[in-house]
Amino acid sequence: MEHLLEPHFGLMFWTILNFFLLVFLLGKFAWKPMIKAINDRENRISSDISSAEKNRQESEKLKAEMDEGLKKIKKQSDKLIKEAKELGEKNKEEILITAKEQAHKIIQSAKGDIEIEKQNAIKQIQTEMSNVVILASEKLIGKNLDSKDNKKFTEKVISELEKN
Amino acid sequence: MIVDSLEHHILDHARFHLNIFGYNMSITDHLIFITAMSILMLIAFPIIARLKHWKINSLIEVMVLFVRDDIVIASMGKEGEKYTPYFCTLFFMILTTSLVGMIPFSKTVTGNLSVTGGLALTTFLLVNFMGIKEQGLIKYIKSFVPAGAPPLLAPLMFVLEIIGLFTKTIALAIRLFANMIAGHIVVICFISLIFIFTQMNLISGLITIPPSVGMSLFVNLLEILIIFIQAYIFTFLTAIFTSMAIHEH
Repeated sequence: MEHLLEPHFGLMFWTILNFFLLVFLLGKFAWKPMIKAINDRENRISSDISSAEKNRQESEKLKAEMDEGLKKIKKQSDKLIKEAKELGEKNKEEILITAKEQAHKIIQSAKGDIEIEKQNAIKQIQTEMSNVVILASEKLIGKNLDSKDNKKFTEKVISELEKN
Repeated sequence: MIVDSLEHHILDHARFHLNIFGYNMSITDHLIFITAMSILMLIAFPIIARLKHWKINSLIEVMVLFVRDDIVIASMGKEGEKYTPYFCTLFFMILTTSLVGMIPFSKTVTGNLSVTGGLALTTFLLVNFMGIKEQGLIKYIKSFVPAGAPPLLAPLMFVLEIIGLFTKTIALAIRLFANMIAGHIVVICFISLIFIFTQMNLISGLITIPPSVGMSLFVNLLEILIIFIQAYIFTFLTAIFTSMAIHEH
């Protein structure tokens, strides 16, 4: 077991040589490409992150602009609707007033017409009645009444009839 | 018997004996294994680095990111980022060789003091090299004595700092070595208990099997955790020492 701590210069020398050769060759062919790949990826990730951040800020700005525009549009549309409502209300009232007026006029004229027709009808009835009364009286009395008496009589009868 | 099996499993064995300038340069099992692991890493990692969108790539990437963010940048600051490949190699060298050492019939090369000593020496070289490169030779040597130190204490502190430089290196080597070897020794001891008790009595041997196997399994799993921790500690301490050498006190 005493060999355990015995230095072996050949092995030591070979280890050192071997190690420096490895440092040179592995550094050139293994670690350099690997570290380059790592650095490239890190750069890409950091640039991705910064561009994503930039995009986020831009989209936020855009969103704020959109919100502003939307607010403006809503305000305008509210105003327009209000105006339209007011206009509609005004029109409605005007139409109602004219319609009422017209209806009143029509009713008035119809009433006048009815009155005239009524008067006509009354007059006609009166003449018819007087004729009928004359005829009846003639039959009753058996003599022909002259027109002067006739008239007086009939008028008297009619006025009595009217009283009834 | 236990000592034999320990020596067989843990110690290095020379395949070809070789002596160059009086130094023992024999080709040993660990030397062969460390070469094989290096070749495997040299083939595997460049391929993994190019297999984008594969799970194995993401796994290695996570560790590379860990080394970069939590070891290199954490201890050396942002300007240390360019040294990440060195620390990645150090981290994965320790991690891979130690993890493969957990496979039966393989060798745990990080459980060899010469290998960990070699790795610690690379840290020693790196620390001094970086200190001289970043500060200049004279300024680096001056930086061993803190700026606010009393002049009388300066020589003592200089000596202490120089000693500290070496103890740091030795501590690195022994820490990794001891952590890696300890788990293996404990596993072997638990398995050996079965044979010891069987020699005494067959029934007692049979009774020993479940706790021994359970405990060795537990220690094995613990060792996997320790491998990750030690790879992290070795790399992190190297990064801290380098950072201390680069920056003036």
